[in-house]
Amino acid sequence: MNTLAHGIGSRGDLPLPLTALVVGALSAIIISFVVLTVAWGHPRFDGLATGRVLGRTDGVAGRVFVTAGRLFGLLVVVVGLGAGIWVTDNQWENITPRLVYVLLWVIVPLLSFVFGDIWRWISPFEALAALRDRVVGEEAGGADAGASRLTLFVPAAGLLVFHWVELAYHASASARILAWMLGAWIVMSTYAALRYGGEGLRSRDPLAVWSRLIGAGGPIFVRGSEWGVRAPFVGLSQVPVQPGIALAIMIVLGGTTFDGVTRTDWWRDIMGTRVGWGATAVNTIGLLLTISVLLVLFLTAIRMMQRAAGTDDSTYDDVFASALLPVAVGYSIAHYFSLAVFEGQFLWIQASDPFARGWDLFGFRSERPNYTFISTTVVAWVQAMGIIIGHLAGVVVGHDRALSELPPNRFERSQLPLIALMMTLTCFGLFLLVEA
Amino acid sequence: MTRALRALLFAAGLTLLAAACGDGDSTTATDSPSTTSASHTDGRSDHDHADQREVDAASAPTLVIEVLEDRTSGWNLHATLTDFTLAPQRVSTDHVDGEGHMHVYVDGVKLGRVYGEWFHLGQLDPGDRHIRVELSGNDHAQLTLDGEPIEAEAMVAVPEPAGDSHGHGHGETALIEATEPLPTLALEVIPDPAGGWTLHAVPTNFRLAPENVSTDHVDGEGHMHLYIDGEKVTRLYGDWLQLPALAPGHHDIRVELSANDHSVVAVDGVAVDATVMVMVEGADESGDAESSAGHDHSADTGSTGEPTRFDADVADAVQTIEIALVGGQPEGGAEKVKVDAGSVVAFLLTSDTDDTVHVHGYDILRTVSASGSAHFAFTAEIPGVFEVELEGSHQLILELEIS
Repeated sequence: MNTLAHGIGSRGDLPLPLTALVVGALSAIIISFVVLTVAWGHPRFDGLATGRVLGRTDGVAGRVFVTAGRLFGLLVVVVGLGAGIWVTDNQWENITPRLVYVLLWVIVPLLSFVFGDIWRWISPFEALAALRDRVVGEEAGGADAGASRLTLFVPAAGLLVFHWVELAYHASASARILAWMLGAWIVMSTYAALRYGGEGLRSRDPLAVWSRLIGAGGPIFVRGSEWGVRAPFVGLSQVPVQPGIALAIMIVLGGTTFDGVTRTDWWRDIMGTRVGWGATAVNTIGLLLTISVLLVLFLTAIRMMQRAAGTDDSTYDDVFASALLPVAVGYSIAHYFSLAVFEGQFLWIQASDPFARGWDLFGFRSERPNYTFISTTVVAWVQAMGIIIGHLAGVVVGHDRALSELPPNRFERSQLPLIALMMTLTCFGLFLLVEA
Repeated sequence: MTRALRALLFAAGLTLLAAACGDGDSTTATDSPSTTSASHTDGRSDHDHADQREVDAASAPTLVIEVLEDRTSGWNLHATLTDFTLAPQRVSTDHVDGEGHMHVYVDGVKLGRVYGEWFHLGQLDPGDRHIRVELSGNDHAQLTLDGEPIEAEAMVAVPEPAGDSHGHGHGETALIEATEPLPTLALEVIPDPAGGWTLHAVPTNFRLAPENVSTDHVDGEGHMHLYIDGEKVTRLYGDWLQLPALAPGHHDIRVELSANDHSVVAVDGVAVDATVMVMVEGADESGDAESSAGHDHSADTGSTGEPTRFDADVADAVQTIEIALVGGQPEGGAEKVKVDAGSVVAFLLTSDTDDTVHVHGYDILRTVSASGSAHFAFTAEIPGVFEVELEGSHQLILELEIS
């Protein structure tokens, strides 16, 4: 059993002080009601999301930038797979566990939240898809119209498998298992890129889906072959409503929550001395239960909204799911910020000798990670702020969504269940950090 | 298997003691030549470190030695140091000002390293002997002041052995029962990064009193005896000792508590001792490293026992975390233990299987053998939550919450 995040990592965060819980919960309640009462009365995000176009991606500079990014992405995928297959299977010599769990799963999404869809820039599969689109021509119907027709159940299943390996499987840090996972992902994404092109890829590759959803709220956007900037969060109103999007978001939110649960004394008592497949079995039940509980809470809130609004619009689940994206990002920041900062240092240390051949490509081989350059106080602040700002953004996005979707006369009352759900998630998220 | 071996060796050790009953002096006398010869071998390899390092005159260490004849057998060295810290836990690592160890020479021939202020020289050849002790940095560079080595010398006149080399009739008993609080002993053998092995033996409820050696018994004080493969090698007056060169293969390193009068300290008739098995790699012994307790090359990081910058003296520990491992699992499950950041924390581990303990983040790796225990300390400088794990099975033993 390894209770630290992802089965890798040397240093865990200290529990948050109880005052953080109280302050965080109070802020969540105040923010929620301020937004409800004084915020704007007409949907504004759709208008703001247009943003300001700053340039084209198909100019010379754009091409060089995109090519460099994709070469980097290709290198990451190739090194990850190669090291995963051939290099000694331990996390000190093998770079694959940190490439997968720190770079791809934590750093790429967190950067996407700050800057916009990072994976779309560095994904080597995007290069394949672009090639295919140039030869075959893009799917009829154009870029954005295509996305809402595609379901996200396949990437949702992919995210569930990833979380199972990460959080439930007893040898989660095994490079061999990760090599299998990377291999399957590469085959799947290559197929999706060549068969369906860029638009299809972005709804099939699980990492592309997650990076796209998170990155939608980022201030940098790419639309067609143009790129530009816009206010943060407003792009979340533009996330295409695809069947399965709620499931995908709840799986990631559930995974992060379960990671928090496994760090509590309560879960430690349940695990006892179980190891191997016994531990895997208990963790699997825990992971599925956590996701199920969140799904039930979410669906209950949505049904209550529908009743209050007097509709039975079956797309409500997926329409309002994007309001939970900032909450999920807040959870990720709270749980994985220090992992990215501290374990991320291993990335360049290990990249100096990626195949454990005694190389020292960048001169960092014998460096040791600095576990003290960000103090525990700063980490605790980032954790608490991550959850609170995630909550704020979630409530604002939910409010804007509600304005455009709910009937105006029943608007305030029908918005309450969603806000109640977010307050519950925020308080529970903070509670897990206090109990950690 | 290991247990049986240990029991056998222990029995052998007892037999040896029983045989030596009433003949206590000769035990030391017979075995001391092996110390000397083994250390000579080591001395040759040590001659490679011919580097010198000039110390800062303002904080220059001083060294004074006296060589005292032991009332029972052999000779004792007592060094008095100022502005110098003996740091055996960091031997063969980078130089730190004011830190290191000592080298002792008899008639110009290096006897070995000295890690404590008291050292048992063993028997010396009859005649005038020249004893020289010099200071050495952690990296084995000779420390100099104004270009001259910092050293101290003494001349001793070693008498011809008396005619009756068979005992002096002390009437000492082989065993002496310890009194409350009962003493315990933790032992580890750490590979020296520069080659060879460092022994670290830490008694609790037992005061090491080299100044009183070979005098009357006093409850709760004395020194220790080192046995290698059942043969008595030397006395230990401090926690640390450089082991003599070992031939390739398995070696049982046993340390027992000894009273001032050299009777063996026992609890309920059983000697208070600890044994660690060390596997020394050799050309014809390859592929047999798995069963090794002392030097496990199969460990993930391959740095088992390597000193880290967090290492501290167990004597400075403000908190000792005791863990009993049964069948490779912590008794009572893995707990979370709170530790004050910046304090010195000691681990005292006992186990019924051989394994390597890994303190994550600090990357301290220590072996714990089925028949022994591991006792080590470190300064908890990095705040956070850290796992302590068995490297072999990846079993979580404990979580350290350092804040």
